[in-house]
Amino acid sequence: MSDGSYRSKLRALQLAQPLTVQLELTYACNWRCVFCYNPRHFDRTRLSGDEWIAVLDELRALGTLTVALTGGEPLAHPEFFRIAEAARVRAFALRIFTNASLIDDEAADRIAALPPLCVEVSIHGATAAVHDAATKREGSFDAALAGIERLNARGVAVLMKTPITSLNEHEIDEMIALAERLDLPLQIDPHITPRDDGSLEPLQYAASPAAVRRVIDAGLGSGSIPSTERTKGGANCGIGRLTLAIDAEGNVFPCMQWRVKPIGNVRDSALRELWHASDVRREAAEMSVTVNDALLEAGGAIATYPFCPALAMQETGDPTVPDRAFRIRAEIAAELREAANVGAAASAAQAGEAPASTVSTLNT
Amino acid sequence: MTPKIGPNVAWQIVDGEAIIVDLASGSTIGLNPAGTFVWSQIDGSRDDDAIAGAVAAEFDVSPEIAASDTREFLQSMHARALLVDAAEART
Repeated sequence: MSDGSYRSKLRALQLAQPLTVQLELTYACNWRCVFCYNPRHFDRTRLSGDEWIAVLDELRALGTLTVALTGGEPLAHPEFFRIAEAARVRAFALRIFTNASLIDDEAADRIAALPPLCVEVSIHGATAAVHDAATKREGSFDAALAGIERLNARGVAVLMKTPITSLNEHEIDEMIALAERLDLPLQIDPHITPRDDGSLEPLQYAASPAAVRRVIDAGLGSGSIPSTERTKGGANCGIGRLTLAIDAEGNVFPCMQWRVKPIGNVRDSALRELWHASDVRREAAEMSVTVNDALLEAGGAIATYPFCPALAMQETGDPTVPDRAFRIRAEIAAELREAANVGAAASAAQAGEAPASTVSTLNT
Repeated sequence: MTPKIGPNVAWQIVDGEAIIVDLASGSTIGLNPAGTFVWSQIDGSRDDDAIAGAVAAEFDVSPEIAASDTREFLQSMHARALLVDAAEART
């Protein structure tokens, strides 16, 4: 036995085995977050429980390991628990992206019994005033915290996820304290994305570069300063190979963010046929290599920061042309890495050691 | 013992090798092809003798070696709570 996750992921990438899947169970949501990517809060269009369970059977056969149930608010789907329980019966690692406000005692019991790998809860501020102003729902902060506490009481793994915005960036310290008080890991996301209908309106709530710098520097995003190593001909990301997403109407996409064109619809064709035969999927996978090579050739800060071509596509119309927010984050990360390297070299010199290489510094 | 996959486990096969997620800890382990074969035999109805018999037939090893290796593997997985005894799980 070994920790085979990295090797398995690499092999799955080569085989185009969609290990990680997101299912957007419903567009409906009981919150109205001002920066949300989803413009269809009111839309009740959705696949039925039976249709989602048929999808789960196909995903099992396709080789999926992790299924994330998302929305909208996934618990707003009337058959949420039937779908979640079916996912666990099929041995998927289950992630639930929720605002937690609909998690009463009964729901918390049923979630704990699944069990999920993690429940990832969106919290938009450290105080009710800031949070509820972002969600446009009075009482949403208290409802979310009550849901989290019910999950905590049952030993469910919970991750507090906070998109940093112009509305809450003054509360970073308080959000760290809130996560500590709730005994939760905290992930602050510096990305605000355009809406799925192409509107750039959410970007007006993007956090200031100073706040983004603070998040990256403190490792509040995805841990240590994000970096990526590229080799010519490699893939930028798992789009079209490792990832797959299905929206509430059954449209299949090579990634949740990449909604340029669906691979097809599960109501019309078997998912396995769509995945293996689709030119859209193949083109997305090839695009990932093109993007990787373009960034590698460009060099500098943008070549070393994890890049999402879907977000670039939404803003610039070209997946190889980085969006403004990415450029800012990449520059900040490069500066912070350089400062860390200078600090490490100075410490090593003081201790009489050879300075660590850039790569080894970034990997630790 | 009649092994059954534990309630806190997620798993999938990638290129003939099982990847197993312990949902209680979030940790992931990978099995080699032999371990994956044993894992695929676990259905909550076959006991360790039956699984060892399948291992002996699949890998052309003596029944004694198959039984010893299979028990060691099952005990290791049981100790990590990745497997439970089907009889205990029913009670």
